[in-house]
Amino acid sequence: MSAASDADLGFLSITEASRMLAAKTLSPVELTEALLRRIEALNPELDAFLLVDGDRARAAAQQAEAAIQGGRRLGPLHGVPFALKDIVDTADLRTTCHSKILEDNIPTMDATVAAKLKAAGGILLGKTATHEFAIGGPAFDLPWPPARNPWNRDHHPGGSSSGSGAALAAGLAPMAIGTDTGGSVRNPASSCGIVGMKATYGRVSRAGVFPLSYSLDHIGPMTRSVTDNALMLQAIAGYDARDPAAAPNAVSDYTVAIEKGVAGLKIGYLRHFHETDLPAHPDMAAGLDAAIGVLRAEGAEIKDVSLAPLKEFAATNRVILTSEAYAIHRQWLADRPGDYSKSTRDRIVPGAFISAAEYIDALRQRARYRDQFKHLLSQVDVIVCASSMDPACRIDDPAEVHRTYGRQARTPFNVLGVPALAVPTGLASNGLPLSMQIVGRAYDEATVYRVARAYERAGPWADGKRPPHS
Amino acid sequence: MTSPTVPPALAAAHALDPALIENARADAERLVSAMPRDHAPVEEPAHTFLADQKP
Repeated sequence: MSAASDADLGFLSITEASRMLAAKTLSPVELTEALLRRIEALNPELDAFLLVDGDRARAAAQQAEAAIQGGRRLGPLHGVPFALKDIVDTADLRTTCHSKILEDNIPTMDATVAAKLKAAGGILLGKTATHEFAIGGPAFDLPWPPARNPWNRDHHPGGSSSGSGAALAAGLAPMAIGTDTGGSVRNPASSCGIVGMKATYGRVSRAGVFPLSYSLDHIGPMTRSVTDNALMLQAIAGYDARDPAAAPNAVSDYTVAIEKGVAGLKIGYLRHFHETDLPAHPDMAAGLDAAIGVLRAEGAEIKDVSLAPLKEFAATNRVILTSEAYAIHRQWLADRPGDYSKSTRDRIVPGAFISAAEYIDALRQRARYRDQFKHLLSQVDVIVCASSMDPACRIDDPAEVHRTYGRQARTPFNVLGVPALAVPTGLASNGLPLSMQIVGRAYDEATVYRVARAYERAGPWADGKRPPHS
Repeated sequence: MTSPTVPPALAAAHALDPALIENARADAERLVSAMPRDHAPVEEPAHTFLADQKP
């Protein structure tokens, strides 16, 4: 078996782990035990996991080991541990949405995404911290504390899939599930220096995942590398009769062209989001320009492009999101308002004061944006733009959390429903991760991954990085 | 757009946090005012679910 340290095993990519597991130089039990020891050692300072399911993880690891030893390997995720944001249902395992409202909730059935990862041979380690119901901010008035950023635990790991981001960055799991309604996969990916994909709306089943906004919710893979992300999406994408919005389209092969590079591709650089709409921190802006330089040097043709102003996109997203979220939560808000955190109430209750006509106007606006985006993507293969405008702020500074909450360029792609991937672009002068987004046409995640992989291979994150708290 | 009174469904939340309703109304007004609202009568909303649309 492997002589690797727990830390080395903690930072194995899915690709590397899968190769070692297939070659039987690493066992699922060894990998799972190493990660459980790391979680035990590091989770008290990071609060990435709300619940660790060690016994069942060990049993699943033993089953995977027996299957692999017996020549019944299922594929690249067989024997690879994973974590789930705690709004994803798990049969016979508490699923709280990080809220007192559901603190005793034990689902009877796995969410489709959980079932698919288990069917692919993945080993569930536990459930990760989230903003309450995937919307409240990092809150200290809930039954569990918020997750911390492994790059600096005084800073926010981003949200709402905060525990998934922190767990990956700290080497506590090689893959995790997040959800994204206004950027909640890509925000922790950006804050924690990892890779997070919001695939096309309907590409990954939402069945069994607690809703925040029916028409904006996406389920997404979070990993430390681009190829790992593609492998994970491959396992969870596809039609699901349990989700009324599930896309019937055939699932592409996300890795077959991933190493093809960007020579000959046209990339639109969407500057106005971070240059004039919401001027970004200088380190973030410099990181974006440098990334565009890398892609140009790799052979891509770069063209400046534009979309509607961020402020309009953000307002459209929030009108839809808060209207739908209020419809979901109004009975609990009427009966048990004190069981929500203050920040969750503050973010959902505005939905009570948006009229039906205003909500319909937001949906009409979405139609305009969709046409505008289709036209733009007839001229380029993907676009590159900012994700966050700032490195992660301090977690204990509510004014700064509030100020930076809207300083992002992720909501347009929830409104549009198109694939958007956050990838790290380096470190800011304060040692916190920088990032960008790569955005593609609906159902063309493969090209997004191809561009991201070309950048990853040639960019400053090529050798991976480990944060101080790992 | 808004009623000056506290909606009955939010009475308990208002009792808990007297600033909640006022702030929520202001937030809603700010969001709606930031969104274009010059749609022609014939402009239809985008389908809520995009999944019907094949690439």
